Amino acid sequence: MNLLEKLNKFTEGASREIARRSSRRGFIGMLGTALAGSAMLPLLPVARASSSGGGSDVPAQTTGIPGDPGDPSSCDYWRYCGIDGFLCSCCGGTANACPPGTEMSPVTWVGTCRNPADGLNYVISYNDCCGKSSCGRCLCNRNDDDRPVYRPSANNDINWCVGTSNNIYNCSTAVLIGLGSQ
Amino acid sequence: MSLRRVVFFQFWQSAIIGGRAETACFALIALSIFSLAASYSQAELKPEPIPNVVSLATPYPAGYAIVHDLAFGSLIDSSFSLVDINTRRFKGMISAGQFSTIDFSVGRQKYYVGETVHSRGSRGQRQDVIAIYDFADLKLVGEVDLPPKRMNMVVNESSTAITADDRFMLVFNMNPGTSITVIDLDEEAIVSEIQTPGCYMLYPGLKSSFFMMCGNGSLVSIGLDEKGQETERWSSAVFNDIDRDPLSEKAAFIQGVWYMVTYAGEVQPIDASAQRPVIGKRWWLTSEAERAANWRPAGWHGKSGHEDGLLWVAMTENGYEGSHKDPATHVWVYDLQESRRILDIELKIPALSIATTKGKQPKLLVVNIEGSLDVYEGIKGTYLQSIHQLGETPFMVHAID
Repeated sequence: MNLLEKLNKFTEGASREIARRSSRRGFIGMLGTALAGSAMLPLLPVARASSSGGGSDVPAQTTGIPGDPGDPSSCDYWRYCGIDGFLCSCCGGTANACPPGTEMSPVTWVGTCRNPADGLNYVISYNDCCGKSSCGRCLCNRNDDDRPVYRPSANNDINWCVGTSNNIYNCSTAVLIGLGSQ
Repeated sequence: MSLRRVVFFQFWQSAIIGGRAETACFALIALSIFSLAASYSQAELKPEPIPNVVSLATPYPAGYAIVHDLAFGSLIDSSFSLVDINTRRFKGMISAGQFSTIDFSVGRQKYYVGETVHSRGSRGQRQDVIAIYDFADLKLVGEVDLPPKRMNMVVNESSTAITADDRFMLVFNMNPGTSITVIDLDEEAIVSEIQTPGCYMLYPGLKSSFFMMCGNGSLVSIGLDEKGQETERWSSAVFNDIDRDPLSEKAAFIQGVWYMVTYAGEVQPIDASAQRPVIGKRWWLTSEAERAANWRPAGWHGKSGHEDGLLWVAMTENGYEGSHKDPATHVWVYDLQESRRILDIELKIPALSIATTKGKQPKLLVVNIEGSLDVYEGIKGTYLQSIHQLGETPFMVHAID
């Protein structure tokens, strides 16, 4: 009897409830709860839950630019809709500048994020900052419009410390390039 | 003071202080018995050798697995933990540099670890290398220096591959131009570099060929001769709608067929059993009702396969555009012959990545979001046990069989 036959036998007559549903917010909340109770990995949407205020203990910031709302040290900041990495705002830099002593990568991936203040879509360039080891603060991963590696300009898994004098990754920025398609 | 003397002293002191003759007599008798028993049963401990390092018995018994720690908080210091999923024993580890990869050859009893390091730790000259370790001692037994452009990305097993005949190792390069470095594993030396403009990652077939996914929605297949040189290049028609619903680059290889899955959950078989791949007929993981209810594939690497025609896919019931890397709450098991689901495993703790073992009683291995490795019965879904403390940010698990 091969595995498939064994499995069919096992599942014969069995019915399982497979459609236990909950909202996305409920799911993130569940992860957040788990995070608080253990040495949780700061990963994936978990990272969003962990770095969006409360437990992250990072002082709130603003860009100071009229019409640019939100906290750049929070994963929920509108420009971070496609980011994956440590927020430079928490690492000595800002949302659009690298920390001291690092080097900004000239090539990177881009995303299109909607600014809640004016409702317009903007092209955001997620330039990595390079030359020092992982900042380790405010890890944030959001994957709106993220595409597989074979579409590299829209992929946030790649270490974009390319074309720099050193390819060690430190943190990621979110530089506003201009208006995108509306 | 020896243990025996301490016991005697405490008994005797108690007897004197208490002033009871009976107690004193009892203490003396007890001491005599204790001394007599000890002299027969406790041989003197022997000096132990220094240095002393454990070797692993090879070939490994069934049930060994490698857990890949990306070390997100210190990317220049990744590692691989070797564990026995049956005994929960930690067997040893391999240390590596940043954005490392791992391949292994059971036939050669060697691991091939791709890594990028710098000459002065976090600065200095970039050095890319395939570091070779043996199964028995997890000890460095060779190195192949690479051009400093190997793909640096978050753990992705399609960055490197070993051909089906166990002869060549393939390394995907991106700087950001793309190419493949071909290493002869007999010689442990580079034999060619193949330029692959616009195409990415590696999917070896059963013959001396591999294919890559291209940015225009096609794939390119490249054949190799016995010296590792390119012999043939073939491009498919466009079959992958990257803008609308792309195929994840994280796939499972089963019986000569690569099973890729779109972000929304449509399966695309690509038969790689011949020299040129054949793009097969698509089918859905989910029913229309399940899609409407937002069931989607999820996890960092959420597909695994078995030679008996089974496919495991990590799933979430909270899917949306952008959820393709979210932790997975379930693993669904499919009969590939009939393209139908035959089991739903609700995970104890949501998964980042999964793998399965071979054999007649496969285990489902789950790297969960707490960084532990959970072991389930692969064809029943019963939770068995967990192994904890496997690095800072374990991302991936590979069964060694």
